[in-house]
Amino acid sequence: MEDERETLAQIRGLVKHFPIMRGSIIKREVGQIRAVDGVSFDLYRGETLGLVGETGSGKTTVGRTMLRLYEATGGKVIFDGVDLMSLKGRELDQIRRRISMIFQDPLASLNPRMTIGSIVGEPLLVHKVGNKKQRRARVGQLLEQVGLNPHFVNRYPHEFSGGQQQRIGIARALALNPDLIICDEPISSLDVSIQAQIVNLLERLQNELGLTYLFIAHDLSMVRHISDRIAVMYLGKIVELADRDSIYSNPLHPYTQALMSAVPIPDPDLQDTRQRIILEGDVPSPANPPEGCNFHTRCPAVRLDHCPQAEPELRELRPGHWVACHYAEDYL
Amino acid sequence: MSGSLAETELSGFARSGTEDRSQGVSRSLFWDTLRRLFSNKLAIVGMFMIGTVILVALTAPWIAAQHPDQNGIFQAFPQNNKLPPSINHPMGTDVIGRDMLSLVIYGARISLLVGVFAVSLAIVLGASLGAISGFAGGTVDNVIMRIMDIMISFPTVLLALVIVVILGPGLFNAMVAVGIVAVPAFARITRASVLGETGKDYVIAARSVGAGARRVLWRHVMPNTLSPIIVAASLGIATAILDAAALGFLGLGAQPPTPEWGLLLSRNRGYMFTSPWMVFFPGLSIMFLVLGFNLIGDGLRDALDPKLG
Amino acid sequence: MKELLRIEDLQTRFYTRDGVVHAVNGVSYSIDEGEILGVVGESGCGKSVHALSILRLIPDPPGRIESGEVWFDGKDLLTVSDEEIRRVRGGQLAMVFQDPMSSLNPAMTVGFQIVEALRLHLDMTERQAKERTTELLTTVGIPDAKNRLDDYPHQFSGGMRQRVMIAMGLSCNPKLLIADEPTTALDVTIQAQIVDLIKRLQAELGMAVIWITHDLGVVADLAEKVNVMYAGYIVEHGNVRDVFKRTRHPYTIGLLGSLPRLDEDPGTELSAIPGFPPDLIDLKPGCPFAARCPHAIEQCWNETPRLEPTETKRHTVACWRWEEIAQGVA
Repeated sequence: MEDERETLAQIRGLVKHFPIMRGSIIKREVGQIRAVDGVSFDLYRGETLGLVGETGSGKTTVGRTMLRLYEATGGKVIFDGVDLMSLKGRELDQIRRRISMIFQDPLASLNPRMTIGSIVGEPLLVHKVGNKKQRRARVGQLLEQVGLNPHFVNRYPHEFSGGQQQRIGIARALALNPDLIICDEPISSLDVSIQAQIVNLLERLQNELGLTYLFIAHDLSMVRHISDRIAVMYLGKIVELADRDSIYSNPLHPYTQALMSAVPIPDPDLQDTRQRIILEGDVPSPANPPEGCNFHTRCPAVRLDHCPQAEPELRELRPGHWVACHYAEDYL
Repeated sequence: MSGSLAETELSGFARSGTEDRSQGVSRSLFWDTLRRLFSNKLAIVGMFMIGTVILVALTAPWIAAQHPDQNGIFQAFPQNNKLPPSINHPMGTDVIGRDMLSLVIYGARISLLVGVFAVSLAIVLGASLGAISGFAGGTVDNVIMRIMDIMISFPTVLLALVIVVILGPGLFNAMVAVGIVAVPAFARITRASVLGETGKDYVIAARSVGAGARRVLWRHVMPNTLSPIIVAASLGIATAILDAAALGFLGLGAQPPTPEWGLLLSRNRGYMFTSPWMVFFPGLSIMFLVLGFNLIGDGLRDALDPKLG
Repeated sequence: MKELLRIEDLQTRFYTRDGVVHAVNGVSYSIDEGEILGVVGESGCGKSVHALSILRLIPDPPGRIESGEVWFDGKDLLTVSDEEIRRVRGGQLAMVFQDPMSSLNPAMTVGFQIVEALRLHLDMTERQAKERTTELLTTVGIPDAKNRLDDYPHQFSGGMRQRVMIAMGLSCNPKLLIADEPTTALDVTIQAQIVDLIKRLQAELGMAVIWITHDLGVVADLAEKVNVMYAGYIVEHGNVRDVFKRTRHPYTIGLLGSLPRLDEDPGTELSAIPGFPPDLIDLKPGCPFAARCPHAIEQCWNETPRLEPTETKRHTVACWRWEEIAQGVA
């Protein structure tokens, strides 16, 4: 099984630090926000990898750094055998056509002064695909593919509902036939009944077009539904990475356990019987993350003689199940 | 299943209310703005005032009693000097017996020209500098904005005076000076909105599909910074007219015998107490035009803000 | 249990340039002392507007409460004087909003804001008020509360700010706390903390809570009763267990079906509700859900169904065909 999967992208030791600047005329760096702090994972062709974490976990930064919307501080993103981080100019453009992105706030991600036709057609125009007529035909086809009436090409984004706006964003992401779509919380600003429509659409498109998704989210139940594998992030690091079933049936990291128990389940019977772990306190600031294991300040199973001093490695405890906790064996 | 899903979604859309509403009126941002502008009573008053001045300026040769010759000189009728308002001269006459109404009517052309020219100059220079500043950031931003800060720290009329002294007096130079004085305001407004827009998701989305810096700036960022610039422009025209009038009043703008309103004020100020109509009507005209532009400016600001819709 | 709040036929509309928005269309329900009621629905279903209407906090214009009665503590809040309603707000009836940052004054310390409220409502001296404030902040789980009185709102994290808001709401020992999406802006682990806090406070202080949310999971966890709202109507009401386990309204069924379930095969397609909610401008008569309902018949398009009791007590549903749907005939 493991061998049959073709690797599409390898992310190795990705680091992104944002400088904190002070001063008005002469600016100087007073610190760094360690948004992404050494993240490594593989993406297999045709899979959906769920990337979950809370505010400040760095999950959005991972996606944006992969596309070089932010310049990485360190690390590699090897896409189809080529390191994206070392490419320039035309070569970078060629590779970048194969990766696209869907955003959290669908309205904000669409230029309010452009018609949806020109929004969806923009990638084609930028990469000089086809002539005007061919591009127009392709836009119509894309709109139809995401369940929108192609006659609406001349309308503006604000004339559509939130779910439809997200469909427009998806159509734009599909324009250049990408291999990989980075979905940055594509459903979290939508209403429940609309979320399901969008998730179904994404799954249908994946089946039809063989897409690979990096699905960034904080909603664990939806991530479980859509993902094949799931990576959990905390303060810029991956703490656990495994197949969906093994991470849900047997989470090995205390943070993953707490996160999953915190997700409310819309079933009063299950809700009454399940055991809940309620974490104390807040996520520490990524500008000043704790030493050692960065989760030790909130960990219910912390061992103070070891965790605050030693940083845990991401280890493969079971085939395909990686975890960064000194004492993960306890939960096997 | 998936095919039928798409169908039901389409039919759901066809039944929706937004659909029904958008069939009657095109709901583009432009028309939305116009609709909101026309439902603002004060803005309509403003448009009416400006419309009147434009109409007067255009039809001057037909409605004025007295006309300038090829050199722009109005003939003097010394025997008619300082006549108070009457049927023949609704705004009275000045010291050399020229019909005040005709002067004011021809002056409308100059004031409108001054306002539009100065503000256009300010927008072209200011918006470009602001856009470059906001988009490039770093040292470029620092240098441009510090120069703007220095310019803005002078009182505008004083700065305009300095520029006119360098360029030499005259109507055209006064317009240039008034335009340059307004540059920092436009640069700042443009820079602020460029900075605000650059961080937004749609700009990141454009970059994510591979759009280059130039396309991002001109196709995405700039069109979305237009609203504050338009508002500033309509208010700026009013300021420019006032500044030009002030320069005219100080004798550094339009030169006699040009019937520029500020100049008329200044030339006749000695007769303010004996023949008040000589200063009253040019002053009233300035106020009328400036107020009109201000009302439109305020109306546009409200109309362009979708949150108030 | 004694009845605490009873709402009769509440109707709120907004008169906008585009037309009349029918935000709340005849909502009636009651809540007992010490009870937790969840109000669920999607954006624009009127759940927040109905709560603001209870406290007469609807901006007028463009909003207007067209009709209805809100009986609380023997008084109809919609007819009492402005002074009286101000005493009720923040006193017997407190409200917590979604965004704590915008409900706190950023230029004043947190301690000062609560102390002021206490002195205003309860006539305390400064010293008493300070002590009480410390006590309240400790109650809502703010560590080292005494030393945080002089901190400004931005010095608190999102979760802590929401705790401050809850402390403010509790300051006058309210009988009813209305919480409008108080955890929507928070992370799940922080949401779990707040939900836990509310459960504890309700048990300790015996206050009733109206919890407005779009999250069915939180309602299942926290509430005893639930109102499901759609397009300004309550479409289903009852005990949480009845509504979630013996769901009768097609909208609630659809909503629950839209959520991925832990006990189903993750590969199965979600049963999404097609289309989207109706435009509330000039809402037509008839069942508001008809356009998206798989069971809609002629009658549904023409007549608005009223809430009627189902086979179990204390469970009502507004659907013409609920019996047929329940029996699987429809």
